[in-house]
Amino acid sequence: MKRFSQFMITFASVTGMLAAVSAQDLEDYVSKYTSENGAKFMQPLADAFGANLNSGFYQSARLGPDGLHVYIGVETMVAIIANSQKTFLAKTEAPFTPQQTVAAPTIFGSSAGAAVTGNGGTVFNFPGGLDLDKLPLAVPQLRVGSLRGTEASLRFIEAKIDDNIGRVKLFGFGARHSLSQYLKNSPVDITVGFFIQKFKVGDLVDARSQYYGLQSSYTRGVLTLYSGFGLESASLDMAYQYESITGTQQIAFDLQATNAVRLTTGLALQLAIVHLHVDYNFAAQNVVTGGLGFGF
Amino acid sequence: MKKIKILLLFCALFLFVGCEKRLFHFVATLTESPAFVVDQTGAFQLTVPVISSAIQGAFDIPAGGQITRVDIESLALRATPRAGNQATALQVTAVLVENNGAQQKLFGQETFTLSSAEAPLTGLQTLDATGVERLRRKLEGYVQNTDNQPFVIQLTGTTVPSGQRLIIDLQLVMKATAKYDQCLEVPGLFSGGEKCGE
Repeated sequence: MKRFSQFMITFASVTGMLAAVSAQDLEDYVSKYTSENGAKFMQPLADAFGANLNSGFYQSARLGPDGLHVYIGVETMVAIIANSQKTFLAKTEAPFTPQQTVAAPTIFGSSAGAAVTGNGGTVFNFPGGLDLDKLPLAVPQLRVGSLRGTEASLRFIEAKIDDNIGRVKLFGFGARHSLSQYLKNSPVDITVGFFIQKFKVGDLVDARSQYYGLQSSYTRGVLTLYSGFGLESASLDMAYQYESITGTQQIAFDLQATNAVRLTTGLALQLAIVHLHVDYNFAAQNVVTGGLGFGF
Repeated sequence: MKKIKILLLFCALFLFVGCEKRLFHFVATLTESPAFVVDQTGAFQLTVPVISSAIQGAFDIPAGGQITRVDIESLALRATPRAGNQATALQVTAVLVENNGAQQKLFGQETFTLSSAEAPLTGLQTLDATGVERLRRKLEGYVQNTDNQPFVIQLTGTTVPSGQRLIIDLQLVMKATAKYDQCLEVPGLFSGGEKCGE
């Protein structure tokens, strides 16, 4: 259980939920949740984290002519947490009696928690959430092109946390290909592309995401208006050991993110080698993305 | 040190908004599950001693955590027959006995059928609200350091019908929760919680 708490510290820090918390605090967040309640408590995290992973791949549909073009920058994604993601219907767990159902906070919900009263004045307390309206994520990104209107993208982070947790790894790759190069009179640039990512924290967390989409952009001077349509999926699998009254239990949550389709619209600014962009992603889980990088 | 580095790194990313302290509410869980072997004919009595240091250690509230309340979540019993057991049912009751001798009923007559080798953990239906409140106050006093007097939970049982040979594993499971507040450093832009009152 301590190991899971340490993971949560790492995960919280990586995603920006909390900058510094103690292992005990996070253990106390999750120790009440070992079954169905746990998956529902964590589900909004899978939705927001998966949506963040699937954001910020592009800031234009214009790919340079054949030759070396390199862009390196940092993408910052902020998932907007809706009110509907802040509560779930939780059930009291045995041996508390009688069983009751109550609206309890998710991991993003109110920090106040919820409580119900049972036999003889017993009380079942559901823990509060982190009371967050936004979930951020920042990742480095490298793009290299172009060959026959095609560029490759890469995201990579690896760091060892400690011997207990292991390594945090993020690896993603993708490619885009210009369609507008085949349309000589197209008023806008058009590309099609994909991006696949894998995020691991030791053997505790395994997150995967995939994105396939069509992008278009219109450039005038230093400004570029861009938009995109994408199909996506993401999963967040967590596994940890929980010490219970019946012994050590292996607890696993296999969560699928809700996002399937997204529309993106954004604005980019290029001043010499400096690239800035911001976009908004409309989906079941909305995301705002901003990026700063350097490229030629 | 690692925590400080993570904090600095993260705060640097969001320097324009800075970091601030926010109040979070946590729930720590305690599970005490003393187990006994009962091997006799007729009535029996068992005692479960409870001391403050054991309760404080089991809750393991972090430094800086401000405990606001302790609740009793459940009391449950599991009676598992052993080889040679001849009893078919068991009745158990319990009282809380304080250090000064004062007694308070914790639960009334609970009846268990001894028919399965894999006995379920059974939540008690006859909990006495006054007894539960007394237990709650004792545990709260322990974790808030306002009470350090030990007490015992005294279990009394007999077979139904009486006089049968009883050989069982008997386990009492008590779950309690402690709500506590703690101020934590969070990035200002992303925190929606309460401000710390410090």
